[in-house]
Amino acid sequence: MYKIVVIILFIIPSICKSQERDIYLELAGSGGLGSINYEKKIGTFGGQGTFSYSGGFSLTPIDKNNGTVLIFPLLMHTCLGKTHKAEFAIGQSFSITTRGQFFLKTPVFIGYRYHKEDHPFLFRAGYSPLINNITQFSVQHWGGISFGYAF
Amino acid sequence: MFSTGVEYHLGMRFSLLLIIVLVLFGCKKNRLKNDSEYYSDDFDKDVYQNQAALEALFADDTLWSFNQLTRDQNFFEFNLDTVHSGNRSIKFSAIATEDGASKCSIAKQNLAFLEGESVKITAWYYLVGEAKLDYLFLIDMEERTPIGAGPGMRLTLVDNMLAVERNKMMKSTLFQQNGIQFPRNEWVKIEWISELSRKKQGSVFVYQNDELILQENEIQTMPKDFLYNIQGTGGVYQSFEFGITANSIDNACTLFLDDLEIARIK
Repeated sequence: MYKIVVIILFIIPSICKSQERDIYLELAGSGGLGSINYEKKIGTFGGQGTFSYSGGFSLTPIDKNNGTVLIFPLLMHTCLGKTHKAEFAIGQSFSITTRGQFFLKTPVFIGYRYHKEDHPFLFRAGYSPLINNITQFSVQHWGGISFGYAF
Repeated sequence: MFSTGVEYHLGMRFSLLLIIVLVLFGCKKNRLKNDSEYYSDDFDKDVYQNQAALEALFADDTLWSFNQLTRDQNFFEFNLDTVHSGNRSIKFSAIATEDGASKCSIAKQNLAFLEGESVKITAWYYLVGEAKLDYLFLIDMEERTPIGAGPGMRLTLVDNMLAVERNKMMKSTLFQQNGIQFPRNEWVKIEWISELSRKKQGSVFVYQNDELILQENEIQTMPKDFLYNIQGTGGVYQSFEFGITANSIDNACTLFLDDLEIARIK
């Protein structure tokens, strides 16, 4: 748990730079069946490249004995392009059930993002595998599409 | 590539962050040295002889791990009258399932059967009465995952025929094609052999009184991570449950269990 705290409290804020923000609904994708996400741009590179980080929330009922799992996907994103962008993201999803069970997964996103400068509409779609690299390395192939608002 | 020194610095730190994340959370867990590949019980062990109480079943780590009794009316006990061999069997009794599974079972943990291996379970069951008992579960083979409902395969009774249910690992039930009924009011030898695979490279063989009644090849026989519903699978079956692991919604059930064995055969 201390590792997560170190990353959230010290490393992510230290590379924050600009103020651009997005809120988007992701169907399927890094949150499992769907998630609501907040994203903030933190830097640029090479003229058309950006760095950002995002935090999301999702939940999925399992069964009576296990309750519901609450999911918090946190990702670092890098996008390349002006309006039509290529996007790569990686991070950690923190899951905790209403019965107190806890686990981590590594979500990855490789895909396309549409966002025209000075326009609020945001769209993204891509391949978003969920990787278990704790108990044994395994990859769940998955994908997602997002619709959102940039401000 | 980077437009300014500051942005270059940001890029380096971003890369560093990715590496830190991957290293911190990139460890793997392998088979534990103390995990066993074999367990058997005829319920005639010396440790049981000196103690009438069922606590003897859970006297130390080498014996059973825990029991499940989800209703006050459910019970299990040593039985001296209806035995397959020796002097004792275990009698399980459970009311019908209603609003949550009615369970009456014992489980053995700290076993380890890995993907690529084959496990063979042998047990003698004596099912009392002729009442309908659809989806009475007799044997569970489970992986203990951080998040998930003990996913794995379960031997069940459907239309009074043995079947292998895989619902907890998001796969379909394996039904027998021959229509061979499960005998009632007599001892029945069950043998369940499975080659373990999280891909479609596994197999299942179920024998009833030495007759092959169910065979499936090139199937998934172990759970794997499924979104956030099942998390942390490692390709190891660690827990085996016997008795009335979940009763049918149809009727109450009484059965006897004797002479069971769990073994790695490949």
